[in-house]
Amino acid sequence: MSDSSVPHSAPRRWDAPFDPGLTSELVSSLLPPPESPDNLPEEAAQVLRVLERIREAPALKAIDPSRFPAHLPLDGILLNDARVLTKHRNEIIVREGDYGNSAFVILRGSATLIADRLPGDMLGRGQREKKGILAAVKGALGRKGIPEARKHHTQRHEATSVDDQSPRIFLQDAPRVLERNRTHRIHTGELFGEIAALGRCPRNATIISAEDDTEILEIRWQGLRDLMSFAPEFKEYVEERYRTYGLRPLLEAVDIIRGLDSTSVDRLVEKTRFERHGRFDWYGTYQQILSASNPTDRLENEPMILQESDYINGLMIVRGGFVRVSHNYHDGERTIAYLGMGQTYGLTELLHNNAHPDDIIPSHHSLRAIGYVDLLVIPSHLVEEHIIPHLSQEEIERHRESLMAWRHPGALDSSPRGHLQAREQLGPGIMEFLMDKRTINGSSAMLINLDRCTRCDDCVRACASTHDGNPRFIRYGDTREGVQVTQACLHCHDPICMIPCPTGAIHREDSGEVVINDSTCIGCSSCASNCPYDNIQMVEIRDKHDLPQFPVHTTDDGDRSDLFSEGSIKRATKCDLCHDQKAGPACIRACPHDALERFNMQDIDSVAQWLSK
Amino acid sequence: MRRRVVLITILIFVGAACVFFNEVLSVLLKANAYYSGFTLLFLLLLLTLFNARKKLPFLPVLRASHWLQFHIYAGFLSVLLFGIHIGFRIPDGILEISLSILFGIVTLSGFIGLYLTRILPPIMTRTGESLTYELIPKFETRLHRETLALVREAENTSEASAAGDLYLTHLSTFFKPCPTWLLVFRNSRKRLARALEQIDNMARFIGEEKSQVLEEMRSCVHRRHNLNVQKGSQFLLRGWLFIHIPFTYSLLIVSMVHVWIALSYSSFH
Repeated sequence: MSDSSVPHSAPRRWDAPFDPGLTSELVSSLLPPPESPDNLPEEAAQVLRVLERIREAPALKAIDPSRFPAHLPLDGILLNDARVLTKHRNEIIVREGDYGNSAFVILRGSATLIADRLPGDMLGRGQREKKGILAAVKGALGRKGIPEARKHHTQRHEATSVDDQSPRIFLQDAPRVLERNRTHRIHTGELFGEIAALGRCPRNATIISAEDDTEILEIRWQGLRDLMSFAPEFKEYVEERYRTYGLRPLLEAVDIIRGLDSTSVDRLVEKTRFERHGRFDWYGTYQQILSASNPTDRLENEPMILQESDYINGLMIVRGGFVRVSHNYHDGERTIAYLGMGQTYGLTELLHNNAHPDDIIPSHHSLRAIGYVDLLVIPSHLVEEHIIPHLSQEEIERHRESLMAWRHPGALDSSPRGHLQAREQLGPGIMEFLMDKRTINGSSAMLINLDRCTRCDDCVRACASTHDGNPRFIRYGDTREGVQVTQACLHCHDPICMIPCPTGAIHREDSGEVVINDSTCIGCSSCASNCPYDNIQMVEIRDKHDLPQFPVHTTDDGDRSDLFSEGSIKRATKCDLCHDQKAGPACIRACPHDALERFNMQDIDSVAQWLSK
Repeated sequence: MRRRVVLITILIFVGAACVFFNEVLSVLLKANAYYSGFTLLFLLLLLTLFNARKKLPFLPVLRASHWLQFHIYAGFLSVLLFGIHIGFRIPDGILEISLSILFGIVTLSGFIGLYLTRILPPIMTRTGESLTYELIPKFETRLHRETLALVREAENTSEASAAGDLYLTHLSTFFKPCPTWLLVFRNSRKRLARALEQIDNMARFIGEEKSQVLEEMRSCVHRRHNLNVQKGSQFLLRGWLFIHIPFTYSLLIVSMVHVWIALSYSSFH
């Protein structure tokens, strides 16, 4: 009997280069670059010439290739994780508000950054209209009970993000826009877009090509991460740029820094240290960690940032990700709170140490990275010099009380300790639960108080009524102490489902909801695979006769035929927070017992308040 | 709590105003029954709208929880208005009696429903995993199969007679299908405790190293208990509506007939 089986191997990172014009075979043949490039086929020789030009770009020129390990060579990163794009004059490269996972280096030409916010229609974004009451009634009455029915499956390329798969988008009325708004020229060799790519935050400005045939190197975040890991000079370059362009607004957004004079802020900007803990792609291991049922094992997987009893050498500000704040309790660690973007840790101890140089105290808590964390650390002496003198008496008193409560539990009946007070309100277990499940990532997490929920499913029915008969969540989920985290999209602060979407169909609306554009979703299921919470479902779309729909091939003569061999058409679906409904999320409004609410988990106090109602 | 105090205060004031207004009309020799009757009818229609609101969740007309609060307090007010309308006397005549019985059923089922929605959810939460009502029969079948398989499997081992004895003598009644909604009221925890005690008693006669089967039996008992509580509670939480809603519509229809007859034979225009 002959062995007809085809050998399979697990997918590897560089199976498909970022540039769809390159094949992995071609790239592999160029690693390491051949000694005699003259004998190469034209295609390969051309790639090598481009690679040479890429290496010469000022942002990358200083990188020492010898620092890179053999399995991750610099040329490998540049060939596999980067691609060259050519843009026309006034063509949008990055669009304010979009989530992107790439940074860019200009290889030839220049670009213009528009610092002011522009209206959506100028950037190729259509205005989304909310359904009127009549349309909603018609939608609810008109459905025929066929699940996931769609009229037709033509894909409309509405611009939801800017990448190679979308049509080229040009800035409307460019000369007037450039004249009336603040702009900044980005020259050949400069890097941009790295803040959004590395911080997984929205682009904070729109950048357009300033000339025809502007050549841009786009580096996806995986490559950017590796370049920063193995090339300290590149890391320094990126951080320096961040320090120049991105750090100041972030520091000024922190309460205790906002009121400082410009000279003090300049000094803080100059001396702030950057720290990164954990894995940027934490979602890959999340389920694995979760399945380790032992809470101690779970904690061991979270990198320690600061250990209890270690001395604090600076004020820590969370730039991205989440930090678990815990303290030793018997043989384990008990979670006190968590910190998200913009929140700080260490001021209480630093204040005390500044006031009592003879009684220096260490940290009262341990800090761990939940997934990954980007931290900014302002050195202690700068905190003492620039921040502490400007704190209000009320603020100082608040920290003094916090410290007293930590050192002498029970000494104060109630102390305003901000986020660290939340645990007491929530009760033991819930905080750990929310963190273990990473519910804290939610900007609109659905929680159900099971002590009030009568299991009537009015919420699910309401959801179905507003989505053509298709409920976008199920009333099921992990439960702790009577609180259920329901299987509904959390609309994450860090929406990792959006990272791999090739068409930008899954995107964040201006009002914050993460939604899927049904007409541009190609059903690749990459968002569903990336969602660590299993809250995105792939559905087979059907026609009015309840039959699956297939891709259609149209000939030049206009004849249409179904392509059955390609399989039925699928779409990604999930909760969209009823963003097209005037009344808002139907699930919340349908609950007669106030048992269901949606929470921004950054505001843990409101969860505590709701549960104690 | 604050909301409740405010709403009760408003209810008392509105109730007092109704009584006062009725007395004034009575002193003025006006046909007060018409005023109280139409007010009551209007209130009944408003109360019925709550169900319509649930069917149209996309309408931007307050949250369902606000509607429920209104429904509850307006329900209390309707009892007072009904009393005023019939002059706080025993009704007579077929139509009056029918109306009163219907009103009584609707009101009583409403109060029972309110009570059930307050006491059953915490019981279900404390008992165990929350289950979807429609899936419970499937879970019951699976558990039944698992339990029997456990007993049969034990038959091949030295615990055979012990496991069989335990199941046949003591636990078969516990696992037998029964009206679960009755169990919710008849202290189901006591029943659970009794079944667990039987397992504990049997543990004495089985060696510690072979007590695995009893542990599994114990787990089955807990799962059955949870299934009973979830099923019984959800049956009640759904069931009361099957009385409340149809009788409400019946009440509205009979009320309309009552209005038509009252207006046909009166001089009130």
